[in-house]
Amino acid sequence: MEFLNFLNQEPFRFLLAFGVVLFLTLNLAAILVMGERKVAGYIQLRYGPNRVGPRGLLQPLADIIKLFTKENISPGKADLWIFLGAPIAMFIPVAAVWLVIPFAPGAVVADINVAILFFVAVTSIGALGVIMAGYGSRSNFSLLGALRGAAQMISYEVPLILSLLGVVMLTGSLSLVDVVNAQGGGFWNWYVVLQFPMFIVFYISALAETKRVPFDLPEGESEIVGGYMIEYSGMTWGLIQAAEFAGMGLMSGISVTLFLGGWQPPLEFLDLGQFNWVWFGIKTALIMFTFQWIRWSLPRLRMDQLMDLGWKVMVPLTLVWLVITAAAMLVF
Amino acid sequence: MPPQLGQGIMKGMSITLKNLFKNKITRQYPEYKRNLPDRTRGMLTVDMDRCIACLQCMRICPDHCISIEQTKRDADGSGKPKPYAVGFVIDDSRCMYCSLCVEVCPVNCIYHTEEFEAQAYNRLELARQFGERPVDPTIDPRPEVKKKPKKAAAKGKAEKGDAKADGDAPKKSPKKAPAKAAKSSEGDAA
Repeated sequence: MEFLNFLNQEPFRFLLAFGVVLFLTLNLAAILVMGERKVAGYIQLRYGPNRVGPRGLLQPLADIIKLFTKENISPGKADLWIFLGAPIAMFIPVAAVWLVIPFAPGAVVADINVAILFFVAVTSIGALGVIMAGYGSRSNFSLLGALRGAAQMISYEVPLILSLLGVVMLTGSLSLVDVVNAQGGGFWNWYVVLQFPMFIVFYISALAETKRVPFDLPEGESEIVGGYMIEYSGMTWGLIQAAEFAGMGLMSGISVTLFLGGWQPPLEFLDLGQFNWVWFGIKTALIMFTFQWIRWSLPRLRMDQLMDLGWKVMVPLTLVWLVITAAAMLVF
Repeated sequence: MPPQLGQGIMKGMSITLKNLFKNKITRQYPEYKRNLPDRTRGMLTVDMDRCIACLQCMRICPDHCISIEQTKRDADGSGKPKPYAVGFVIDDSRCMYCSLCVEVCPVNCIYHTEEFEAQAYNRLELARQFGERPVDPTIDPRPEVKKKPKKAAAKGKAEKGDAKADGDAPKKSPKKAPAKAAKSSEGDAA
């Protein structure tokens, strides 16, 4: 294996890791679409897709082939550069944040000391993508969806960031590797125990940030028929969907990393060494399942209810809990 | 905070979680086919031995989906030539399963089966032939016959009406009985 050592040097290591992360993100999106349809089917006493391949497992492949062969049409008066740039602006941030998430001990693409800041900064670009899609399409429903999306995503950035601060205070570091290392030694050391209200707030904000039910007002397929993505077709639409589903996976990964111990095993003796990514995967998959479970159970909120929940409940709650955390850190 | 906060959400989510593990109620159609009810109106079929070529089904069909090619033939050996359907086509791409032809048939030779999977890659493949000779399903078996005499009567130009009918006849397969009927009726009207 000596000859592979050059891969561990800087440009190659980063390029290789970036390729792996991109591959992971795209496949994650495809698998999540499949999982979404299966969970939806099972919850509604159906089977979901079960014709393509064994138990329908090749359905995402069929979907992707279909999307690639479809024509990509755009409205005649669309601002083409913005229209075509929007899916990319939605997808790139989602893929980029995976670069700072530790998958296993030592297995992180870029261990930067401001990883949480990076996460917060880069995910807020997603709102830009939504606005670009709505503005560039030059369509009424698109614009409505984009305005709703902008209002919702910018509002929920606030509780999202505030809910991270408790973890940052307890760890004393903005690096996700430090955050995970600080949660070692059993599940009672995970921050979800000390920061339970923050975890709930983060979870709800993550739902809103990824525009999933019950906060799917920007899409609102029953009222504004798809919202900002209404004018997209073929693979541009596919890329928006991929960005949404990968964003859901990303939020699950981040919430696992911050609150559920990342790759830390739930008990000491279950430590798998380099294979601790299995724990990360299991926990992330569980969170993803709860996202889907909520999606197929709850109705959509109204816009004023959404804003009330964000500004009147979650922001004060996080602020209060920050003060409590600070006081507890002073006392103990 | 009211004590019931979040209870509705918990209730709903527990129901969906229970459904996740329940047996699915989907019937996997091509593998599982349910029993069809009595009097199912499936694809039509004809018992050509009983057919007396009275053309009533062809005339009553609202979609013009039945075409019959009629000749006189001594089929039962009685020495007397009777109407006989040498060609009989039912075009399932037009049929709407209204059952009017079944009701009108005096010898009950046209009836519904329980077949309902009418599919083909070409629309013409859906035209099923029953007679000895195939009938072209693209030709409308029942051209609009009633308008012309009215027009002719309204205009009071009997000669022109006749000329029209003669001109139309070769186009619309002169073998067909309705065309003949149309001609004769027009002649009567004139």
